[in-house]
Amino acid sequence: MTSVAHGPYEINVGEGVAPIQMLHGTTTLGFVFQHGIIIAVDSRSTMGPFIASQTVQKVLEVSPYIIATMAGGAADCAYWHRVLQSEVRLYELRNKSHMSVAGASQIFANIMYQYKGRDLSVGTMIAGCDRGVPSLYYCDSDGQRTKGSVFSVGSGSTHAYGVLDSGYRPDLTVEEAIALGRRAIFHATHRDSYSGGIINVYHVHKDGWTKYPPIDCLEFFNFEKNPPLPISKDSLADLAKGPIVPAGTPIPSPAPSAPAPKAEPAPATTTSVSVTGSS
Amino acid sequence: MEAIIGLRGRDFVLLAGDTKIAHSVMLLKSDVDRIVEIENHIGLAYVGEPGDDQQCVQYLAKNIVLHSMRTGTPMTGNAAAHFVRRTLADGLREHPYNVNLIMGSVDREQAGLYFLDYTGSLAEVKFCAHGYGSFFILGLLDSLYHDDVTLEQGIIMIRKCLAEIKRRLLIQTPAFCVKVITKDGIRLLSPEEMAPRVE
Repeated sequence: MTSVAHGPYEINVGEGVAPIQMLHGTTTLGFVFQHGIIIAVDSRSTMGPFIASQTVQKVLEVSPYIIATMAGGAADCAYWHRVLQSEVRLYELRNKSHMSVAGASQIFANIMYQYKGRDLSVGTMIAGCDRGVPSLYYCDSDGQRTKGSVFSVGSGSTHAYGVLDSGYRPDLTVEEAIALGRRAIFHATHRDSYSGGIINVYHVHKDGWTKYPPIDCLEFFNFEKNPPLPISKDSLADLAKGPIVPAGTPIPSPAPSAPAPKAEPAPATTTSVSVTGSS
Repeated sequence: MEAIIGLRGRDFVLLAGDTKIAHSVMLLKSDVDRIVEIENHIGLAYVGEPGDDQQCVQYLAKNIVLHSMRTGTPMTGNAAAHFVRRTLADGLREHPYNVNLIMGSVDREQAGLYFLDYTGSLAEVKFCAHGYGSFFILGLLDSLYHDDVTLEQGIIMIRKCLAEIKRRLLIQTPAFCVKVITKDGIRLLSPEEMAPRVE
């Protein structure tokens, strides 16, 4: 096989492995809690060692009620989720009712299974509410589809799991859950060089989903403003207790046009600000 | 690694399966039910390649149900096992399902246990296992099993197997899911029923 290594990424000539795979490194996560589902993702796209973009939208809005994350090949994810989008919309037009998340994820898994062994690279979480009950599915290009309450996908997922699992409780408040999601993604971007950029957070609830303002990862990397959280003897769940950025503080947003939360805006509480306090 | 175990008495079948999905070194999920219940008299335990396993078992289960909807007669365990074997064998050269299966059934108060692998081989057996766990427990079951095994003895045997897997298999399995098939249907055994008792 003729393979020419030119600078940042490989260009293959003739037969061989797919030469350019954008967005192979990623960190995405999703978890179910009492008020719905939190989805948090980074925004870096890489081609080998080269950072192709720092502003990728890795959450795909399948319908006003269903969102999906993308990890793996950017083109594969973007294209097949667009196909899913049209399937979901057509279902709505034909049946005058929303497609369930179970149904949407099964369609996606069936497509993935059809193309199994043909070098698709997709790892996705599909989230939404079925009759008010949140459900979160993991699907990948193996054709695997599984329901669960905590998932993380991508090269940074191991780092994210570490933070997420130790801070996760089903009874988190929306505010705590968003903070936990952001924190987990931040730590993943810190350790995984293929993850970075900005952190996007979505809250999926019974009325659809709400997008929260994106935050630059580097905003988190400031131990004076955001010191490590104190860990009590009783519980590691304290990790989730305080948001890294005190709630209510205006968040510098790289995209000024980012839509403000449509519903359930994070209430500006004074109680959760004292993150540093050695209580 | 995944493990599934089957054990048959005269009028019951016990099926056990581990409950995890692993992605290389990462545990993706730890409460999977890999024993599919079909028409309340067939249990189908599966291990195999991710994607293939679910897709294959879903196809088999739905088609067995479809058969009884069309004919008005439920498929017997024996017929279902041969249907599964044929499906695996038909696909073998073109689009193989990399799935290994154990099927248990009780019909007309007769218990059947079928060992199937991805190449389409089928064997009616008294007990069997798939996966790395089988290396540790087949010998154990050889030494324990007798033809008049009662359900209670069967449960104890399965318990001993699971204990051995937990003791000797490097890759640990957090929990197993055990189901029993009798003429009254399929039932998930509760943790209490599987918990070690003082004997």
